[in-house]
Amino acid sequence: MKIDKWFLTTFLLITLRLTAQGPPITGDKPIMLGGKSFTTKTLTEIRFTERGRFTYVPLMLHYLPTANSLIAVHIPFINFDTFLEDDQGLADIKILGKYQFFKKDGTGKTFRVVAKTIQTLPTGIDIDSPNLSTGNYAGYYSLVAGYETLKYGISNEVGYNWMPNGTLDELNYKLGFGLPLLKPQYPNKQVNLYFEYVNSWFFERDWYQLFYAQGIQYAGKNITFDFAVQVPLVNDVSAGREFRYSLFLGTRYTF
Amino acid sequence: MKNLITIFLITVLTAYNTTAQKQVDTFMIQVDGLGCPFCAYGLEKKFKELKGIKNLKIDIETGDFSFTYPAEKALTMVAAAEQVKKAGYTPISTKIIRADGKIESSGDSKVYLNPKSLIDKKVFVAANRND
Repeated sequence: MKIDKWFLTTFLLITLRLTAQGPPITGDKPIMLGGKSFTTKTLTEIRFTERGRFTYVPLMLHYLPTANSLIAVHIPFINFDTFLEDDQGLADIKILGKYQFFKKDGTGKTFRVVAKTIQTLPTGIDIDSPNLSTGNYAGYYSLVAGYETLKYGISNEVGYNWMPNGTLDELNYKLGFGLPLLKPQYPNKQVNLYFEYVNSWFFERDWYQLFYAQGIQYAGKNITFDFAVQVPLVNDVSAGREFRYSLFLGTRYTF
Repeated sequence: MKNLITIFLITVLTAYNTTAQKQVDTFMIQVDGLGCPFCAYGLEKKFKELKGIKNLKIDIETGDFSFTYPAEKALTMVAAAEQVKKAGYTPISTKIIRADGKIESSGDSKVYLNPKSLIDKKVFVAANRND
């Protein structure tokens, strides 16, 4: 396992010199695609843990009232099969808001910073699975910053999830890099690789996890298809709650 | 007779076509912030809100963005730049070739200034000294 970590770290450091761009898969980005536009998205996650399998299918609708603001609703469905029970139904609905308050543009490059909030409504089944369904209200507040050029892109996010009626308060930090495999062209036709890290600290439970996701994306003019595999690098949680891996399969369409 | 009619029709259509082509303004805008090809779609989409826009081209490596727009709609340089901002990007310079051949450029804005306003006190004093 140690060798794996060193391999991944070395690979990341090498790719840092060439890395990428475009919307990340498991993370977020500060770039918005023009005011008064809609994007429909889905990013199905099939998560395997010590407890069992969870399949999370969100339907997302994003709307940009202006070029620097976004509102969205995520309606997720969940199906799970654990050693305790198996069931399916509505997961926690999420309302998302973003506001870009800083922008610095150059030729073929941009740096932007966005304030973001996600309000999680207690509409879902309580399966005590962070980011899937807990049946509890939660408010997430974060800053997303990203630097995108035609040759590489870096995005990162630091955020806090506040759950007043639960014990899943979380401090997290996400860092993502991407690598375009094709020459930049418009109309858009891209294949991008993504290297994404998520640090997650649930301090009320003294849990800490570090995930690494390897993703690949095809991006057409206004549509993307995404696939990623996420594995834990650090899995310091209660016995029986360990994360094994997740598969992500998604698409987004802007109109 | 048939040949004559054909030639006449071709001439009329060609003339009409040439006239129609002249009735568009050509816009060339240098846009900053296009950090990814997917982002350029936001720019294209915003300009497609302008009915009648055609020949829209984006060179994402240089930020060169061009299109043609019906001359009778008289899209101004300021309005075009504003549309770029609404798409979430930064307009750097704009050049318009009007249907009548006139060229407008954001870099030439000083041309429209009143020449008197270009003379400040220092220039005036210096000129007096030389006298």
